[in-house]
Amino acid sequence: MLLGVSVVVFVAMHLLPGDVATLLLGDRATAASLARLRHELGLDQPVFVQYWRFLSGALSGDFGTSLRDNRPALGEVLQAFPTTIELTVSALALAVAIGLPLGVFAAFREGTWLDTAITTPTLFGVSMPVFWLGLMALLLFSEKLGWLPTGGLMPIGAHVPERTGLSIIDAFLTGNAALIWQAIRHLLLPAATLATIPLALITRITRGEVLASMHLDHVRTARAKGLPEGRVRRAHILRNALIPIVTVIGLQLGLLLSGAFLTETIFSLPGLGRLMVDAILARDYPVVQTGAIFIAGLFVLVNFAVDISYGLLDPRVRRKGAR
Amino acid sequence: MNRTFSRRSVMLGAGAAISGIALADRAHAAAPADTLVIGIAADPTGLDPEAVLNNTSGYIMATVFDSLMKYKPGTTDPMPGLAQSYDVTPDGLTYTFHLRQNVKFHDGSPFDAKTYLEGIDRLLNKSSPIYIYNTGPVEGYIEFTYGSVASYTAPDPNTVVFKLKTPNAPFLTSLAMVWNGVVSTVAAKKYGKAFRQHPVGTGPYIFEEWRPRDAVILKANEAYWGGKPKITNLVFKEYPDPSAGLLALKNGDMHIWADTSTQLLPAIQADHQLKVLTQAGLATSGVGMPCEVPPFNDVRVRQAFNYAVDKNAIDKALYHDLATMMTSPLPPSEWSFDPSLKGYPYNPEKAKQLLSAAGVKPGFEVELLAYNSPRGYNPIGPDLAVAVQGYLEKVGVKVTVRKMEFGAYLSTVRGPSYKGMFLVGWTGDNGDPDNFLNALYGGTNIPVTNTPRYKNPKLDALFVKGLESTSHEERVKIYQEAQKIILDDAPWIFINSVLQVRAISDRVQGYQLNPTQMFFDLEKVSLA
Repeated sequence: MLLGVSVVVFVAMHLLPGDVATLLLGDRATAASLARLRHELGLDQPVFVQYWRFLSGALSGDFGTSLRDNRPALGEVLQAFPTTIELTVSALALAVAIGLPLGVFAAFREGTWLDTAITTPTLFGVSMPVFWLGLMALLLFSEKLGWLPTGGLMPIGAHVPERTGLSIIDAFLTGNAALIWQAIRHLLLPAATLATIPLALITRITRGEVLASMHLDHVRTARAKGLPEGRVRRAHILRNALIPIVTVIGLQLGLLLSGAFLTETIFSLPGLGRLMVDAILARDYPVVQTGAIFIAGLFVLVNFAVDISYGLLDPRVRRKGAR
Repeated sequence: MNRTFSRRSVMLGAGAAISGIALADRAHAAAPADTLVIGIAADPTGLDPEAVLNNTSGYIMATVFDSLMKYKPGTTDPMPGLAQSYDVTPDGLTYTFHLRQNVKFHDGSPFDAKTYLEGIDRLLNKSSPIYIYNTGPVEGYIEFTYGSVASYTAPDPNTVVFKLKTPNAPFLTSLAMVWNGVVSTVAAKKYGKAFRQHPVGTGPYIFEEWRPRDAVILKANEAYWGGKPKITNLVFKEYPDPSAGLLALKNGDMHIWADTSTQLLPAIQADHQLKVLTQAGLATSGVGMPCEVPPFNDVRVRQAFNYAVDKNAIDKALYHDLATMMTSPLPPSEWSFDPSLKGYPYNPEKAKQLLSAAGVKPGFEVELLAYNSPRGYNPIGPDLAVAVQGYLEKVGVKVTVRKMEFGAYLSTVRGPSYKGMFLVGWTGDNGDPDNFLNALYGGTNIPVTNTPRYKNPKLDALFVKGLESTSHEERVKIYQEAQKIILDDAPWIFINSVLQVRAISDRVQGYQLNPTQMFFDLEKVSLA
């Protein structure tokens, strides 16, 4: 699958109009200077040779050097990744922590004003443009109220040694409470902004799945045999509803990982989304290819984890597997 | 119902608690008092002055490196920098630089004739162990600056002599460019290919850390030869979203916005704690006409097209008045700009008369090729072509606008078979008039930068004189004469010269724009 991704990305990048050397040298580029730069960048080789070089390098762990800033492409991706994973996981944690209980709550109060009060805003949530919401949040919480910072991972001037690249963990490692608080404050708005769509989606899916499970035969049987209502809800309704919910959460994690670009841009966060967009605009092939393969690999891993979780949630899946 | 109510109470309580925590922290998180923050829109691509050609990189490098020459503050006039003084022989072939003494690089290594020439070897001598072409792709100005150099020697530890093959008067201004910053060769040896991420110079600020897509952090060079910097810490902080950048400026998180978004200018001007600085930029923009192709080989047609377009109206409507009409082929920021020239005022009647005299019938059709994205010298990109199209229609010329990606556009307009008009523009490199006039209108630069293929032997002779002359006054006269010739010959529809615009906090003191956009003389800047 990763091989397929690398081919598609390679071909797509080379089909895009625009040449790195011209982009770098601009109006004053001469034929000679363009030829020299293309040679230095290895772009004077036939496309399939360039691909083969990339592939054979990648198989031995060398993903090439960024055409834009001459740094190892894999290093760039790995440096940008912690910010994105920190943002994504925080956003998804927020979305699950709020969306799951809200969905369940709405389902058990189906048709009441509380149900409407929860489901109506989720309609807006799923269709909210993130860049608009992020800007509004910045205007309100940063400019008007002055409660939260305008962007970045840490205040300017705060020196936190970069050990993991995850700002909150790095702040914890310093043991300085003020820095930990600052790291959390800086992540709050971007995580909340990025959480909007998955939060709304998880609430809606949870509500729908719980509602569907409520009317299944085994639930009626459980109630008929006199099980306490709490047990019926936990063990027979919620557990049954969880499989599609976990699938959606897994998919959302993958989507957020690759879709955090707008949030990273508005909140000036140095993540993978921005690295990828900058690289695409600069026709920085090695970085785009490495980033795409990296993200595709993550998608595979997340889906694998979701599949494993099915077994944990549903004994029937485990039994089928054992056979 | 009771249970619902109690849960709601808990939720409300939690909300209030969160608000309380946030309120307790309301003391504003502006940048520390001894830190100057400059907002940038993109990441630098490297910090080795000779290897990269990227404005953002230049902003930072101008604070880390010095050059032998520098620009007089706020101008592109050259003056001695790391060289304390210099002599030029009357034939314009020998340049002797007397170096400033007791200057050290940030890594403690000495700056003298020996280390300086090691740095020149790094650029020009293939056998140098730190030859720059062995460190990765090189986009810099090596050929541009040193192409005319025949030899370089150090007769004593404080003197450097360059001998040139042919006279090259802009040599001094070229040496002042940020792209000719003097690097520590000790550091270049130590870091090798990674020198681009570990710049070491002699400038007012010392590089500390570069966090990609986030910030570049520098600290004051207390021993700076030009005086101890007034601010201890300098941070170039990236704000890729312009609205977020404006918020940071308003909140005091940023003090100078290097890449000010002109779209947000009304909001900036409405805030009394912010100031907008403007200066004539080092750029020109217009429409090139193919001077060898009929009917454009008739000067009356080219002049008519100039009269037909209302540049002031375009500047007002499309550039928010942040551009000035070109009254000369040079921008007003250039030192030989001739203010007595008035350009081509809007006069459609005169345009029609000239077209008719040249035999161009109403309904004449021509293509106008545009690059499809904004350029430094033309922030509205292809919209300029559309505006010109509208004006030319009014004098009976039918224009078809075609847009192309920049690389394809460039090869098309340089190609021999292209017969239409095209957008053109230029941003000056070193601030020397030769870099505008000769580059854009000199016969030797057809078709690379003289894309209209305009040729005038009298002008080419002037350019040779301009390169040979060692007298500043004489060069001013030469280039003023050249401006008049080019203006009359009208190879371009001369549209405008965009202004450099930067928003700053009113706390910033001692900051001055430079036409090259670079952050020179930052040691003089302080915060109130």
